[in-house]
Amino acid sequence: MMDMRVAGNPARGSARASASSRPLLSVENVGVRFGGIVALDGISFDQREGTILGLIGPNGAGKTTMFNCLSRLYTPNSGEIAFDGKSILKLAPHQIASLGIARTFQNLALFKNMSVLENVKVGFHPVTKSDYFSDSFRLPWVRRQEREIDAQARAIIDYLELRKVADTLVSGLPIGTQKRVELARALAAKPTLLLLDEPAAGLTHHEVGELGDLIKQIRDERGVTVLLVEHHMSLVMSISDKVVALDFGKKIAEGTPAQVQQDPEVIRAYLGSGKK
Amino acid sequence: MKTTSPVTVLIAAIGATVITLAQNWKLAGFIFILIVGGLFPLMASGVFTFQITQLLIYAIAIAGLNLLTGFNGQFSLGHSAFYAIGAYVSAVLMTQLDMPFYLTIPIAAAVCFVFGFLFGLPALRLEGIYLALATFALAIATPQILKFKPIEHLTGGVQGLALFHLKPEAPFGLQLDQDQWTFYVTFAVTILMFFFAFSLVNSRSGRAMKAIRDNHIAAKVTGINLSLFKTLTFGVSALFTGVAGALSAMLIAFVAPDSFQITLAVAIFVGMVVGGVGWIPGAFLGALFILFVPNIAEHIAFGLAAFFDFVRKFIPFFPTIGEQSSKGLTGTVYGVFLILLIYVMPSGLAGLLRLAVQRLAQARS
Ligand SMILES: Nc1ncnc2c1ncn2[C@@H]1O[C@H](COP(=O)(O)OP(=O)(O)O)[C@@H](O)[C@H]1O
Ligand SMILES: [Mg+2]
Repeated sequence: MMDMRVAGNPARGSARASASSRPLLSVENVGVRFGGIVALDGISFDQREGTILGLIGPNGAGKTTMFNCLSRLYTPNSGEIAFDGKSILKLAPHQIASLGIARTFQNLALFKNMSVLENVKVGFHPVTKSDYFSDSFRLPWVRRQEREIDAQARAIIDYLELRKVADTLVSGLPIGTQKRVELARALAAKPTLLLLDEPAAGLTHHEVGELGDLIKQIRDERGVTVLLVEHHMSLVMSISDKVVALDFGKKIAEGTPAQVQQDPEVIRAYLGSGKK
Repeated sequence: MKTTSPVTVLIAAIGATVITLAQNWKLAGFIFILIVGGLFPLMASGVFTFQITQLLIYAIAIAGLNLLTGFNGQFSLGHSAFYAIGAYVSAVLMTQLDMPFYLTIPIAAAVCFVFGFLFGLPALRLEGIYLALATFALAIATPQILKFKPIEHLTGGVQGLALFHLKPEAPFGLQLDQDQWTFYVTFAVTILMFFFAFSLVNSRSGRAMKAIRDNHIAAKVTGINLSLFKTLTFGVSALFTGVAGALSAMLIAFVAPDSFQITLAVAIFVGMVVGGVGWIPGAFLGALFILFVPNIAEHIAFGLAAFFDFVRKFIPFFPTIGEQSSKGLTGTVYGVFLILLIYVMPSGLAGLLRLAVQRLAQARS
């Protein structure tokens, strides 16, 4: 049976709305070490539901490492991460998606021998059900669910203007298009929290502007909370409600875009890395 | 009142059927296959019927391996082991418990599923070449285990088990000999297994299998339980190959440890590569290759030997091949065929066929 969430589960949203004083995502004192390298050093921040939070910092600051902790690919050496009030650190990586956390990757991670449509359909995995037996026998309820997945995948593909390439293998597509396929796959699971790792990398100035509008639209129309890692300062500063700045694994600033932009530590971090 | 004559009704019915089939090429293709399969053993010779039955059995085994390797990215050079287990489960149940052959197929399938699943558990920690090595070891060990003394009363030891007297007869007094009936049983099981295979790879589970093959990190992040899907796929793959093994026990009417050597595992693997990795219908092309190309290679080897002898009459120092070594030459010719094929068509015969179909489709649109 199709999980109700695919069709937009109102129960989930309202349950959280009643506890709206609690942040959707809470990162507390998270530390990650790789041998001698301290990738994250006691990072804490909160994110409220329905907001866009910009996570910035020079290359190697630890942003992707933070994402990998949130998707449980890495286990922090210390600290706590709570989503919707519950710790995620005891969960396995594959259990994160069904909580409502989806992500894209800085270096594309698509299923390269599959078409765009199939990639998006995989995105429905956590919000649908089936088993080898029912799938092998093509039981009626599986067929019904397949039709539903097909229709919804095509709707997302249209939403992200991918219709022309729906049946093309992803591996041959331009990087910008592949990034949109990743976004489509992430949206398929109807996430509550969407993690975007440098979605604007490689886009033209005009496309970056469009992406900003799209992210806001996804937040406004689909009620998705967005955690955004991005180097395009104009983009981050124009759409974020809050910005957190990292440098060498430490949090150096947190506040509104205006506050963070003027923070002397942030200016120094970016100028410093600019000189290198 | 106007009465419709039976002829009108018949014509209308035929017309409606033709239109339905013209619109639904999948159904039409299926009915075509049914008709061809139904008529084939009535027209073909006994030997040819036997060969085509063997071809279908190989195709099932190859499809099983393809589910694992082509669709899930797990290597196996040991599928002869599951083929052997399927054959032996069927043979032992028939000889020990007098079980009818048909009933032994689902049991062999279930046993192989469990074996495959269990083998898939430690395989989770092995990648690529190491998994190939582990499965290779399994293929080497299996014939030895089957010869194991303490279970000799079940397996028949080195001698194996003869099943000639247990070959199923055609029911309902049908005028079919055993080979013809064996073909029909195999044909029906083949249709069923390929229905399962097609359904699986085009389902949610099939997408999860392919996602794991293409990018296991992205698969995890998309909520796919890697361990579960990889072990289940191992089980299903073994199940397919085990069903093929059970059918082969009936066809050959004899099982012995030495029929399930590593060469069988390699043949199944070669069949998968030739047919196309990650393409289910390719299993039939692969089966065709492993069944007939060794024969062709033998003919070529004999031809070459004769040619060399002929040339020697004129050039005294020309090398000779002779009776004995022309046998060895067969293997060489087969190997050369294989190498050429992989070089010319890295995606197998299937790749070539698919390319042709794509070109045709493009030309039409
Ligand atoms: N798997 C890993 N093994 C070793 N070092 C790592 C690993 N992942 C990240 N790092 C290191 O952690 C630091 C932070 O990297 P990263 O999170 O990718 O930075 P950012 O995304 O902010 O550019 C870098 O010094 C990087 O080399
Ligand atoms: Mg990064």
